[in-house]
Amino acid sequence: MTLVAGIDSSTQSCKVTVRDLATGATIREGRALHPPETIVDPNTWWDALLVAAKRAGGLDDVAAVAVSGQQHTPVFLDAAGAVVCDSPLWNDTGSHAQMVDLNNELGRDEWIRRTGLPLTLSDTVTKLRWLRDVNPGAARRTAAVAVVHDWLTWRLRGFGRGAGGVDQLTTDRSEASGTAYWSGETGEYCMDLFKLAFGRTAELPRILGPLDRAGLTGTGIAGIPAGIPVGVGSGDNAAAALALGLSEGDAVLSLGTSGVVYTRSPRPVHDYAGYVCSYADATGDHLPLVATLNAARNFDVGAALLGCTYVELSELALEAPPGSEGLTMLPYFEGERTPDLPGARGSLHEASLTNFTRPNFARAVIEGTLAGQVLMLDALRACDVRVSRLMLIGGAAQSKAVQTILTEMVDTPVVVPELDEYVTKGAAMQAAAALLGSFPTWPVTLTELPEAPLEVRIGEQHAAAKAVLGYGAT
Amino acid sequence: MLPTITVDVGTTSVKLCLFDAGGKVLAAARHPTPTQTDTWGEIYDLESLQSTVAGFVQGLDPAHRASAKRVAIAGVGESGGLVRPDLSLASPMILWHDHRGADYLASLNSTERAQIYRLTGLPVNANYGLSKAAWAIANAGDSVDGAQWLNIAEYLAALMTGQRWSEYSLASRTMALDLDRGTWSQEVCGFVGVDATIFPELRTASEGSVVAPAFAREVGIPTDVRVHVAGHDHMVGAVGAGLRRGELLNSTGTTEGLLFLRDVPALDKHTAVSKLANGMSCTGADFTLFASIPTGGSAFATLQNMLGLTAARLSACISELHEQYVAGRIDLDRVPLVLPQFRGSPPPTKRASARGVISGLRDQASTEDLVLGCFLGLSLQFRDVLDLFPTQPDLIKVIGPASANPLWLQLKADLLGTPLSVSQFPEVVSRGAQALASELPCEWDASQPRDVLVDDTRSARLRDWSDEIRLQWEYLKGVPA
Repeated sequence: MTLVAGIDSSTQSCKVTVRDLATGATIREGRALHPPETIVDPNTWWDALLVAAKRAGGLDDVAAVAVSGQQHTPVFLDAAGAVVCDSPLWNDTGSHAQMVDLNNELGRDEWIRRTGLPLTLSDTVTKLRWLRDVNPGAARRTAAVAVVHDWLTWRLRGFGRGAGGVDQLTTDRSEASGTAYWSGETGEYCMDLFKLAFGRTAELPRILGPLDRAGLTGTGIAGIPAGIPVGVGSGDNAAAALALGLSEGDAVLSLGTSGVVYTRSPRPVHDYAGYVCSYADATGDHLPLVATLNAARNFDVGAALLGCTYVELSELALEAPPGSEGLTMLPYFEGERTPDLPGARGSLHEASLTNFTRPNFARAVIEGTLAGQVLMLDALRACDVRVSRLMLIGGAAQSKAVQTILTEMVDTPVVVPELDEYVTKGAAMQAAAALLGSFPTWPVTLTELPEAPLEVRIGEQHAAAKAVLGYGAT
Repeated sequence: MLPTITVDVGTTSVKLCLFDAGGKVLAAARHPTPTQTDTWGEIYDLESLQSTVAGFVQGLDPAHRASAKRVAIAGVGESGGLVRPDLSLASPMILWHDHRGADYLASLNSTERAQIYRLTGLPVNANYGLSKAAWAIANAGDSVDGAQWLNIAEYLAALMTGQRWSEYSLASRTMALDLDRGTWSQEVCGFVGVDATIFPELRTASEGSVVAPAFAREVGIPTDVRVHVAGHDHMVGAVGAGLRRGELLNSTGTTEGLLFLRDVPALDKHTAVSKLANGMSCTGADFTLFASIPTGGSAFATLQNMLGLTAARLSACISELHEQYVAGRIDLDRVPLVLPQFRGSPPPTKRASARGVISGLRDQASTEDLVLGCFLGLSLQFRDVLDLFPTQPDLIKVIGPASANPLWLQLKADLLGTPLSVSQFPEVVSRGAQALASELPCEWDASQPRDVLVDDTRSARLRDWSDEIRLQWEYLKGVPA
């Protein structure tokens, strides 16, 4: 049996799965947690990768490997290839002021026209400006900027020990498209935008094609065999889309730490309404995407306040009627990215003696979370992107309440792919491509959820609560 | 005092006591107030209520029962129903917060509303009995002949005596009583098409009536016992607390009441705009200025149900929070802001449709944060309502369940910057009822009050916090339902 490994260096942890090249079946896996902070020493991600690989039984018998990772998050490197400073994660809201500044300087619509991105505090370019503003010394020492997967791929290839090699950094279209200094039309970096944000240029990773190989693994890395091919890798959503076999007309709703809705498009989009980010995918197409900061972690808050488990939260929610008898939750517990509300906090509306019950509260948390995601689906459609089927994935996708309530809120069929680590699976497919020269065909089993009557009141309550707090209609 | 059986019909519970001549409680019981819903809203389950009261009296020690000289009945204001001469009902007995008569008030113009306030001292609101009476008459058909409007306490007294009358403090919560004249106002009743004769004769709390022999036999009390309608529970509480001019009674039941005694009604523009409610005291000799906060002690049960805590666990949580607060270990910036309008808003808006809002929830929000936020919200709400009154109190006397909630009391004292005098006796309303039926005054010391003092450092910190969230608080209060 030939084995390939896919690595997902996500916000919360690093996951490694070792798969059968022939079928994609998971043979073994390992996981290591990342620090919970939103500004982190990148070396902890490398350490976590090695621990996860070890917990996956090591990769000595693996024929190829590839890495996917959290998008946007930069790693600042000096000329010798050493990490200059801790990295602000994509979800660190400290760069809000820099986002405002950059939008003011270039113009919001110009960012969208040039990069397809309504500039957010998550994008790499705002992190560049943030570093320049808050730590000019580190900015001065920075010779190269990579994002997490670029850097980990480079480390797997044996670089990063202070011996230079920043000119050997590689990336892919999906990661480049999340920087806000890359054009979906040209497929090239926009160095003037990088310079605008950082004040000067720096070395950037070479952008590889979907079936390219980043190189071979280096020597002397614990648990990693030397000399095996390293696939191009990608951003996490692009990897999951690849593994799911996303076709035009399919949209994915991923309920992980953050909420993400994306679809496949043959061309980049430019959403001047400001919600849709025009990323690239891992196949050569595009991946229009909308994201929220708050998604499945909302359920953590709900379960904690109710003093119950996730399963009990789901059961409670299903005891309540659609609309939770008017009780409405805006789950912006730590600010929000879509809509742009970094200072917002969660709020509960229309509480009365009658409706302030445990079932209604549980349902309001789930309805509020899904209402935000459904609006993102509408935003995609507004970009003339066809959505005729919704795939529900992520940690919360298995919740019966999430499944039931979602079908009450959308008028498209909803399917739930079988449980799998789709990001690591996509990365493993890229590892396979590094061996085979083409992507393997690995099956995905989908279960279609029963249709339910559309409950428009849920969206209406959500919109009304937002209007009350002046959060706008979308 | 005279040995007295007291009945206090509250929103959520019926409190029953037997007091001896020394004011000592010989027996006490508390039962959930029996209610049910009909097509239009919430009404009393009278059969259960009668059974509860009779069962308590019948269950008393025979010697104690035989010693009883008075039955004194207090109750929530604003409830009521139409009662025929034979004491059968021509309408349901409607709860105070039921707004089934609201349509009869909707067409009132501003002149009529101003005149209603001038005459009755009440802001137009469907809580008060008049609109319910109008609804009851319209829905009773021909069977209304001879029927009169009685409050729930008055109805119980009628069942015990065979006589129908209205007590002044309860009458002043119907929005049909001319405060200056102390008579029913045909002018105000006419605004909603009601004949003032629907309201019965008026009596003070001390004017009881001898018990009907049949009732005395049924429950086993002497036939010379006199039955008194003591009055509106908050106002009876003022008697029980020995409230004096310049003092504020803060009664904390399901709702929270703020009550001052006055020589004359306050009918100025500010008081009218603030929707403060004037009334007559239980003696009929002086006046009250009152505001009710719809969500008071009920917040405890709301939190308990929502958070899935037993009463003991929630009490422990409150005690722990109190300790942390007093020790200065609470980070107020992490506490969600809770606008606890779970049953409509207090004055000056008095919107029945208002709803509670919780804002500032973070992903690390805990049960404790929510509990603290709720009691902070109750305290802010109390301060806002107190600020509406034309005078500020020399002393705040606290009665009711909040007396046992150290967190709520301390937050309130620190936020106001005013110490509280808190009754340690749980049944101040019932004691007031006994005093009224005995025609004797109560002394506050009999409630064994304890002081909740203000700590300057905590108070300053709390006030700084309230200044910081003031804009947000005011915004939330303005949120339309």
